[in-house]
Amino acid sequence: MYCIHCGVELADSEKLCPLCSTPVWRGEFKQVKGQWVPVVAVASGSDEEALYPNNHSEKIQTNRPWVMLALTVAYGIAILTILTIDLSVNGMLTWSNYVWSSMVCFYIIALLPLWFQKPNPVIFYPAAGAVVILFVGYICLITGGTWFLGFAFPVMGAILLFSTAMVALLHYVRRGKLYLCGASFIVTGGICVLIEFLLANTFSELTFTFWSLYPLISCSFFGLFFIFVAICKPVKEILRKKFMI
Amino acid sequence: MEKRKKYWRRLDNAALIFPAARRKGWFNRFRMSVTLKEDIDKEVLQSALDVTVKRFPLICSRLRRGFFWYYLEELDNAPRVILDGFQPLMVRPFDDVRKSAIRVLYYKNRIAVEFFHAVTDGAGGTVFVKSLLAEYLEQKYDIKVPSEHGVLTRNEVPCSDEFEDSFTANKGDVAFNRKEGQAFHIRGQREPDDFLHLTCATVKASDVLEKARELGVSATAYLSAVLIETLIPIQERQIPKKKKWLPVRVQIPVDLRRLFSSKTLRNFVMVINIGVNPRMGAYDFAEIAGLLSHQLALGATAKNMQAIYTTNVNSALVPIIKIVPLFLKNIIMRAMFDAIGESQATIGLSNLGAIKVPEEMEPFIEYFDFIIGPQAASPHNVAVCSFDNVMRINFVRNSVDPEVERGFYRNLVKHGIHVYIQSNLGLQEKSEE
Repeated sequence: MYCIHCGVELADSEKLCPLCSTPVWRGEFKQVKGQWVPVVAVASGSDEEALYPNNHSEKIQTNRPWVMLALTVAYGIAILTILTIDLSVNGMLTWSNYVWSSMVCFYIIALLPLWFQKPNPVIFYPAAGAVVILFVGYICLITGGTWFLGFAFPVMGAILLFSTAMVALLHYVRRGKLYLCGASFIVTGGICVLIEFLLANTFSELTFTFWSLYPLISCSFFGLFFIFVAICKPVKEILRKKFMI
Repeated sequence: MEKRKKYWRRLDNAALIFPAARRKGWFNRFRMSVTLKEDIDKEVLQSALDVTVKRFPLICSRLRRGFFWYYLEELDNAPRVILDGFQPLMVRPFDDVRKSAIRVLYYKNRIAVEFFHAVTDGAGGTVFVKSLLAEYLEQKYDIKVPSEHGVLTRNEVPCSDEFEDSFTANKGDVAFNRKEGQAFHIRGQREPDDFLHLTCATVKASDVLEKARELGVSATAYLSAVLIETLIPIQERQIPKKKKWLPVRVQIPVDLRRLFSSKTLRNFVMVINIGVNPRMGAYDFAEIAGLLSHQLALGATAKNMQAIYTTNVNSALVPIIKIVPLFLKNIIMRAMFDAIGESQATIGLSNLGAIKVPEEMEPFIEYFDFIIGPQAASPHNVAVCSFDNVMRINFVRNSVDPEVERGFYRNLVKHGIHVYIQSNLGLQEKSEE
């Protein structure tokens, strides 16, 4: 079979001309209203003459699990060493509490996803956030603070819930990024109000002066602007032309 | 019985750049394959490889790191033969060459060997493949193949001449600056998954030689001229402003063994760049072919080649450079490679020429194939070899648009050469459905 554009003879394995992508027709042709059309639309090549096998399953072998296992063991040894030193010097766990908890925190945030070829951010992001909340709670506990349940937990929880929703939407929904951007500005303004309220509620020396009104107004303005741009297609088009990178 | 010491050698002068220039998903490799008339017997091939590796300890080797230099060390055992993948020169992690610098593959009636370029060049690779094939045929068909036409006796001890770093051994007194300036580079979008397109043309070697003789040039000069004829309009299309046009050059590797009567099986090849400058005006095909032929004749002389590689040898022999740790050497060499390594030529064309084998092997062989992987910066490469009037032109590309091979093969058809095309695209398309 010859390619009508390139003039080269094509092997039976070719489905398209590899030079100009013209389909190769191997079916019979008949004349309909003066035009030659294929009777059977056979466009597939034969595997008999294929230059290479169709074994796409061949994967590049990596020794990632072994590297990660070695790293985890080394990490575990480092934590045990730190705990032993602290115990032998001070007779109890003092400074090592901060070290081991932050090391565990770092492991779960940065190293745990590396065990997987393609870690899903919708799972690992909230997991990392939850670990940070636990870490902050633990620090509060060992320092004898009272600020965690009343302030840090609700603020961090709200931020984590909202940002997880954003990550999930960005990961699974391809369209509507401008709406997401607008919503994130408005919610950020709302979180500022929540922070001020909880600050005043938790710490008696602070009073509610409504400073959070300023970020709330400006964030809402930007948020509504993005939503307006998302709705109004001509404005979106003008802005795209003016500010394309 | 006392255990024999493993063979090992420092990388030869040309090979120094290959480990240094590597990057993620790319290192310099080439592939020699032979297609037989009957299907391959995997067990016999493995057995033949087990015998052959002993004769080629520095080809069947692995790359190891010293503090100051890389070196090649003989493998303990032959690598396992494996089924070919869906594309030649499959993307592999660089760690592979620390285990084995070669891969031996089979598919239907084809035996292929993929080499890391640091161990040998095309000529050395051909000797290895021919010797492996001779051993395979002897074991499979119980024939006796004489040691001639590059087939080495597998059960003899390797000769020390085969391990020679012929660059250092044949170093001259004069060093030459080989700066030629920038050449045109084809713009194109890279395949996102690094898929390597192979478009292989089978043509009659006699047809190509006849066309070349009509113009009074060699087959390499003729094919280079067809490439240049294809590339000039591509540059005109991609760069509309004439004053920005650059010379269009083809990089031709020259086997130095014939010029210096070397028997080495390691790298002993040097490249020259031949081409035309389209800014000087329009060229017709005969003019391009004549110019390239003269440039080849002027460049590929022993004295010129020696002056070029002496520069590289001298720089590796400077005492201060010798004591620089390997990681620093790699950084410097990588920077030099990125700055000038591939910038002086538009595309590479490597012609192994006519491959000869002993008469006893000929009835079993259909053809040989030679494929060179794409370069780091240039997405195309062309490799040619012929056997018994069958010339195989293997065009590889890791960019999306096939405009260069389309133009090249169409030009061959226009010159009256019958071109038979095979590619690895059909199956790729099918698997995506």
